[in-house]
Amino acid sequence: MKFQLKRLISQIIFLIYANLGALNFKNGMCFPFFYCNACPGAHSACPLRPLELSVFDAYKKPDNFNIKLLLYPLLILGTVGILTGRAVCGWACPIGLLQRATAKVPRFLKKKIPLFNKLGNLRIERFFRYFKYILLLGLVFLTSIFLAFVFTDLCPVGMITGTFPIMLLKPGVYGPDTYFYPALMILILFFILILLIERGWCRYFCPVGAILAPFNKISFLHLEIDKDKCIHCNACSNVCPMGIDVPNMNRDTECILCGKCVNACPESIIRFKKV
Amino acid sequence: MNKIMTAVAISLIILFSGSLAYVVISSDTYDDVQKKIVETLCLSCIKLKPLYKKEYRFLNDDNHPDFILENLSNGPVLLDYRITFCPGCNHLEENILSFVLNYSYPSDELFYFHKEFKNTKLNFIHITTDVFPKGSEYEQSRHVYDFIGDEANPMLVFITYGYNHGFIEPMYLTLYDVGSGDYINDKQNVRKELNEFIIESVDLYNEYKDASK
Repeated sequence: MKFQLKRLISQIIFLIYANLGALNFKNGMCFPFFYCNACPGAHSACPLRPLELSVFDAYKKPDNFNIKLLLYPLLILGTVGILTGRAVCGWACPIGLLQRATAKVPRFLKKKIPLFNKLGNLRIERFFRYFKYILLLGLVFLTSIFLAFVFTDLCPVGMITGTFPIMLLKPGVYGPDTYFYPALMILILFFILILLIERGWCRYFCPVGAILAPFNKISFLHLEIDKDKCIHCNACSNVCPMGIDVPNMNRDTECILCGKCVNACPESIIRFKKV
Repeated sequence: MNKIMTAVAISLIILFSGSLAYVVISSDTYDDVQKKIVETLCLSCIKLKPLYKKEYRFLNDDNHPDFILENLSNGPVLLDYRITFCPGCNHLEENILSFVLNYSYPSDELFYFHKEFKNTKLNFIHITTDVFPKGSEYEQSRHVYDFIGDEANPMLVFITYGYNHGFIEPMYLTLYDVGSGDYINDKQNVRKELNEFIIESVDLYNEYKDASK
């Protein structure tokens, strides 16, 4: 079976798995990827929700601060991260599957409009990738402490997986609240982003990806490149959905281990390595 | 270098998985996540609010819980249902209810207090539902008045007496998500509206209480 077909099957299986709550199977785990617990089918919690809730009362009522609730999703993501790095982004995350489905559009634009090709090669582009860490610290943690759940109120993933399914399943029972239209605007920007830039959400905004990314540096599963044999054809970088300079990467924090570069390399010098 | 990385990875996987097992086994975190996050509808996550008519209803099959009927014998009842983690509930309590009732909220998960409105005692009951075991009287009581059925928070319930096809019976008015999103501009209007509901429940109570005996 072709490698990318295997990955697609894995993503579909995880999409079904994430929605087992529809069969009333609900538990107290956190998803190791980005998926909203408000989705009618979700059986576990979004990993960001316990993080928000644990710090929610920390400022007003320090006695209520629950360190275990804070550590719980971090330990789940950490365990998965050490084992597989960001492979969950490429192999399991339903939002990753959505971006895979839309990937042909940015690839087409990149091919046809030179500007899009140039955008990805700008030096400043790699600095945008730090935005997801700012988003994690700022919107998930700080606003939860000092303000309210701003990230939750505006999250586009909650809109896709929670808002629209609930509106469809229970027509007329719920109507838009104050944050609905700002969140809708962000959702439109989300779709524009992933239609312009392949895996744009994973690259620049995903806070769960920000938690998982550092684990790529030490994960048991990673990609290894025999740089001495590289012919610098750039076939690997051209197919990389995360826009990584693959020949020069060394356990890159952006790599989602999708394996496209492994398939594309004419010299077969890129391979998965365990441990 | 590779050996060092492997050693670090092995140490960390033992540390992370061991700590995860410790957190799950030694605390209620797993149950808390299931009860307070997974099984609770997060209105903030879905950016929606319930659409419903603000009208008094009578119970068809279910009976009012005993602790409600006990309090109703002294005056109309106002129930404030919330869950532990709920900024909307905090806003309602801190910026609206505490002003309407002229009362400073304690941080207790369950408390009662009484307030005089038009010489009638209003019985206020605050219940944090997710701290009570499933099926317990307090947890179960919210399902009696949650006519939408999705456990949306915060939920306020007024209980008083009303006329129902020839009989005087307890009736209830459920309000969901009161004041949510109106953090800045509408506090005064929400307070005014709640005050009107309180006065209405007191008037209805005084009108029908004698006939209910």
